[in-house]
Amino acid sequence: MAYSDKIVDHYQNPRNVGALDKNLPNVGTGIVGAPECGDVMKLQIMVDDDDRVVDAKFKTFGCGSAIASSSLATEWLKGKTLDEALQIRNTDIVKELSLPPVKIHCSVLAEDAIRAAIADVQRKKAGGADAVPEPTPQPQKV
Amino acid sequence: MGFGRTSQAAGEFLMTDDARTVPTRCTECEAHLDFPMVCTGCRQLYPVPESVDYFTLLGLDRRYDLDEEQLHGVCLGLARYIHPDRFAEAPEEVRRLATRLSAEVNNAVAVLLDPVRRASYLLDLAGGPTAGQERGVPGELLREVLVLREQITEAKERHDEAELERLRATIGSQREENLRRIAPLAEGACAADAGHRRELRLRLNAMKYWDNLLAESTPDPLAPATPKP
Repeated sequence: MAYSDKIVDHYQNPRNVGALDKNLPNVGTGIVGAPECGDVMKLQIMVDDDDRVVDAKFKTFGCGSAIASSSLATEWLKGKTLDEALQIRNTDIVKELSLPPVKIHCSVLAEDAIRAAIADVQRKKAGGADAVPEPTPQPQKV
Repeated sequence: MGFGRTSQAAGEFLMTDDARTVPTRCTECEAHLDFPMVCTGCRQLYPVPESVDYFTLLGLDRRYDLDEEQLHGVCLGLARYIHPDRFAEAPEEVRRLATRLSAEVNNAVAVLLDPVRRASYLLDLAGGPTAGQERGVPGELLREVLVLREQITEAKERHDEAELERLRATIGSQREENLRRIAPLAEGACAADAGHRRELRLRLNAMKYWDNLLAESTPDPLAPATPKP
């Protein structure tokens, strides 16, 4: 099984690895896992007042295809509105990276992570004062 | 010895709950069958359907709590009767059947001897959910896994063997704890309601994450020793 150059590139030079402050009201965090392989993916987005993604970070513990899928996802997310971001499908990731059939679940994981992060930031924005405060808020300059 | 042909003739049959029948009395020598695939009296083989569950196949009660010694004994005992080498002189059809039955017994023993696979198998028999249907894990496990993964990565980067050892011990005991919680859930799986079975699925899903963490925190014996700078 040969991996595409794009997978190898994203795996060797992953974009946007890192973390955003999950306690900020405009940061959404999605943590998802694949019980079949035990891979875990954390994907975070920061949005501006117009619900446009201004930054995206990820941390993935898993195979090269899972890392490449989440790396690509963060690249695609930047600059998109949340509505546009919700249009990203795992099949788009499969196509872009030419993922082999046995690795399609990695792209599903990335789509799940995007949706979880979007749901999280939307919940925060909608909840406002009702939002449950995190135990250790750390003020941080953005 | 009656291994000259296979038999599906009428006799006494045991009705399993998936409505398939397995023989309980040998049609050749009329002895009671301890196992549905072979008469230990006259060595007559029976083409048990592949859909017959592993517990029925091995003559065991369908439960999680099983005696591993007994299972080993069953496995060795059966090999004396169904191993293909025993049928070297038999017709092709019988040799094929012996090969298929031996492979099924090997699969059954491998699944039932492993506590996690056994619990998962019981859950499948009880109607699931499968990992594909229910992908969740208990509580905040994924966050916990992320933190532990980061700590492992950092400990490895620092070549901090003591920290790695500490993490491995923590992970090992958490894994054991999860397995302990699986036991009572799996024991009652067959008579359990949907909520109970979902809880078992979440615990089983968690095992894969704990296994990965354990592997990740265990030093690779083939990795070259890195000289300290």
